[in-house]
Amino acid sequence: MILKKTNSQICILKSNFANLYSVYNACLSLGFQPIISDNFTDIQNSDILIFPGVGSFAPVKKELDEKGLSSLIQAEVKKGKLFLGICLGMQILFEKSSEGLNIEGLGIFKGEVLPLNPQIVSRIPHIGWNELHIQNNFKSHTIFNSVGSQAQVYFVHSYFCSPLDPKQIVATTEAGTNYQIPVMVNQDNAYGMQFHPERSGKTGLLMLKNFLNLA
Amino acid sequence: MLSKRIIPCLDVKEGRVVKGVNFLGLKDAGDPVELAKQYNESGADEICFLDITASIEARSALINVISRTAREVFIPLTVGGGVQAPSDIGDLLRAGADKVSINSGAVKDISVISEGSRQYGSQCIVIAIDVKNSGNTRTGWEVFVKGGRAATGLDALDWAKKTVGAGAGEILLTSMDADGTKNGYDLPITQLIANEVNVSVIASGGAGKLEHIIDVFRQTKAEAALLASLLHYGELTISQIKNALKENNIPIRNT
Repeated sequence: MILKKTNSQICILKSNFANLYSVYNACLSLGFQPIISDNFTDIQNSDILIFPGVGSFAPVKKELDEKGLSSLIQAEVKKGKLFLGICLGMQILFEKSSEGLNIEGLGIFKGEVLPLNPQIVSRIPHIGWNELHIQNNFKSHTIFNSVGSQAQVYFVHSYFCSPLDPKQIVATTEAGTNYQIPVMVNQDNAYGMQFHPERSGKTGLLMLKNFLNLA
Repeated sequence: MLSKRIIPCLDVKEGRVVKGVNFLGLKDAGDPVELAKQYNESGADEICFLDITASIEARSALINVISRTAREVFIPLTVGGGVQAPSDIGDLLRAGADKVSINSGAVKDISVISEGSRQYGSQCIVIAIDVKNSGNTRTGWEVFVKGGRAATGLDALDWAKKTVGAGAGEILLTSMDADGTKNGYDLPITQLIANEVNVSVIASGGAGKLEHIIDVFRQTKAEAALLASLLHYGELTISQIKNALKENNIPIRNT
């Protein structure tokens, strides 16, 4: 495999709660060579920081806090580093979550993480392929280059992010009848995806590639 | 709206696919990775490996297969077979599985579900339930283990609810009565379980032709259909199945 000659250093944030190698393998298949690390210098020296997360809010945030990574991520995002939070890695960017009451999120996005409404969503977790409804102001965003307007991506989650500022919502999906939930957000250099681009076949890989090329 | 999923299932023994697979142009039809790639290319929504290796020593062959698959296939991968303890779940997830299916290990000790979901999240815990209409339980459907050879006395519906309560995020329901018959999925038990639980149900066992797959989605609330020999022997392709589902207004993923 020919690795793309790029000056962008990608760092996948190492944590106990993620299938790190799915994202790592996906980057490799796209010709990028990321590192997996929780070392401060590695993170600071990277151009792109990716935080994949699975599991639940409280233990993941606790691990970040214990490693001193919460404040580091906040500082790096503030400095303008390209950042992608995937699944729980997106949820942790918000101020708080119903999943871990009394535990503060990173607050990079204003708003909270809420449980899917069991009255509307018949199967929880929301598992499977669902269609992205890209918001009008993001339709021509680079991240959707060649993706098409009816992209289907893979979800597996029981909570979703609700940003205070609707302008930060990049895309929603219909998790139940007439029940659209935000599943992709963006503010400046920070992006969040509730779905798994690394498990979403060609569509997901394309979005990941478009994201990496933003650097 | 969620798409209905088509999931090819490969039986893997000591790192090789058992049961012949009829595909043209494959370098190695016994290699699970080659087959997973092929199914991914042809539009599978997820891949399932079922490890039927008896010995613990051969486990490393499975781990190797999973990690090689995860390097090349970027759709969800479910792996099952012989999972007894939460540490087995961890091993498979670390190798690159997205979900782990648990069968007799849970019957032996349900804590593998509760502890596994606590450690790794419900989203990666699939309870595999093999049922037969024995008439010996409350609903008549009884849970069997050891490939359908050993009755447990457990009622299928009670067991489904109990394991979901313990933290299973999905149910892989195989009807031993229908399995291998090619007479269609067992619609009554699939519908009963899918109506009574609030997690996704994957229907398995009995598909012999296109109509059976259409029926299981039309007549039950199953979210996915597991397919083995029908696909492996090339009797139907995934695109034929998806086209037929689409014609019948069943939501599917376009690939």
